[in-house]
Amino acid sequence: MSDVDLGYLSIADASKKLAAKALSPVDLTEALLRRIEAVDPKLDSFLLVDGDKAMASAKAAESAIQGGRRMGPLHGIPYALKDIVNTAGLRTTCHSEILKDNVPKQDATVAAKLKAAGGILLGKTATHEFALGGPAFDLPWPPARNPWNRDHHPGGSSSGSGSAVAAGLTPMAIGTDTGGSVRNPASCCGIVGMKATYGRVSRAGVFPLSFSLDHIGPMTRTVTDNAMMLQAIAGADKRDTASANVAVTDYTSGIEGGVKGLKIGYLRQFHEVDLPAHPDMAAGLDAAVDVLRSEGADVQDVGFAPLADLAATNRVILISEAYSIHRDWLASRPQDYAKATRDRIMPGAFFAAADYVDALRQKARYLAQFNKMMDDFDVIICASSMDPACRIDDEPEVDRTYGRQARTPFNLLGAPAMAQPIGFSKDGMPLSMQVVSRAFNEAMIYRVGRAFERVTEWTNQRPPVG
Amino acid sequence: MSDTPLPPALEAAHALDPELIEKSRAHAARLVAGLEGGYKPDEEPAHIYQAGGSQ
Repeated sequence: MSDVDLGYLSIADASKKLAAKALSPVDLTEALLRRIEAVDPKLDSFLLVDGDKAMASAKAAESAIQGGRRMGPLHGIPYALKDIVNTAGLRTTCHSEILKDNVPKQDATVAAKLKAAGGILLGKTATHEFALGGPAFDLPWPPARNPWNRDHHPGGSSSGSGSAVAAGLTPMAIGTDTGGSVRNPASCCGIVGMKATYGRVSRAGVFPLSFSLDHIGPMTRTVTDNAMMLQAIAGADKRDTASANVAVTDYTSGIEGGVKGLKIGYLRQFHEVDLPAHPDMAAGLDAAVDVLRSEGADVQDVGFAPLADLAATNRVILISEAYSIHRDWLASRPQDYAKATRDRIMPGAFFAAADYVDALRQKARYLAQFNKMMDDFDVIICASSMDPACRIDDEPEVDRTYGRQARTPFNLLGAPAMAQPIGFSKDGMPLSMQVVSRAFNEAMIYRVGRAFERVTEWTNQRPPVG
Repeated sequence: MSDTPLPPALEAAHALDPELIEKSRAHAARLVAGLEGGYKPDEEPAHIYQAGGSQ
């Protein structure tokens, strides 16, 4: 296979080939390292590539598989980590001057789990500074670019992870999601990004943005690959005080079950009333829902609280907690942050303690409303972004469109939500939808997402980056 | 909203960007206005570390 074909090989297919010894982890890793060298200078999706360690891991994987000691479906599969995920002995910068020389002593739990599953770490990916401030040009490293059009932003904050997966530089990457930061780059880059239930994936060793809203999530090109990756990283963890002691479901066994007879709520209010979407996005969402209906789902319209109010509640909590985390550095080294980061965190200085508690009380109201709604549905379909990704250097348009999204409600609610591709805008940028369900029902989301993916052509499209 | 004077911790940031503090104060006020309010005394917060809080 060519480097390009190996670059776009799904995890499911690569895993089968590796198990059958029809593909070598060394050949796969070498091909991806060559692709990164050739393509990434155009995308800036990686902050650090550790080719030597990757090759050593690949050789160890090859030896183990050849020796009959295969560790599971991800053994020998390369991956990348957003650079706010601690890696023992490997620089972890949060894409910031503040931590540019930070070398952690211990792996984050999610990094340790992927390593234990036999994955091959290729390197660390670009992020908005501290998972918040970006895209920004006043940081030690440039922002990642969108492989569908490198003049456009790739979404964020897990920007490098989204860009690298979409460009076929790695089949999977870890992102983090506090207000939508896995699902935004997934939406912008035409890949699949899952924010699982709060507490489902350990946050231990990942630099916090907002303790009560932070989630860690898998980013892949297909729904099945995403389920395979979540399987490897989900589970209780004593290092994370918010970790859920809930049994991990088998995410792939029912994934081909289809949607016939499932009850799906279409939350069109978000993109038709609250934040009217770009016409291409609105048409794409309607077409996607029609596909699910034609596959036998029982689709009904449903309403929820206004997006602006949900977003405000999320932001009061997020910014309060982020300010608490960054207050000392903002006082002593404000010049070492990007302007965008300072602008986004500083409102946290002006909330009263009671404002923060009120937001947590408001969250309780929304939770009750959401749980009642979910009594009637297996999943909800709604918009992720209201607009295709715009030019990265058009600051006013970036500012206008970044908040036009429907992802923050599901951080607030702790509910699992997945973004997946549903087509392209007239100018060739990816369109997306979200599939949402009740807590710990990720398997249902994957089932619905896979049913859509199976009968459409939007997965595994190759962007024009070589 | 807090009406307290500028905390010393913000002085360096203010010196770097004189508009930042006022923009931030106004933004915080807009966000708080998005909360419904009218919380009854026994309306508890959703607990921060209630993993899987949407159950």
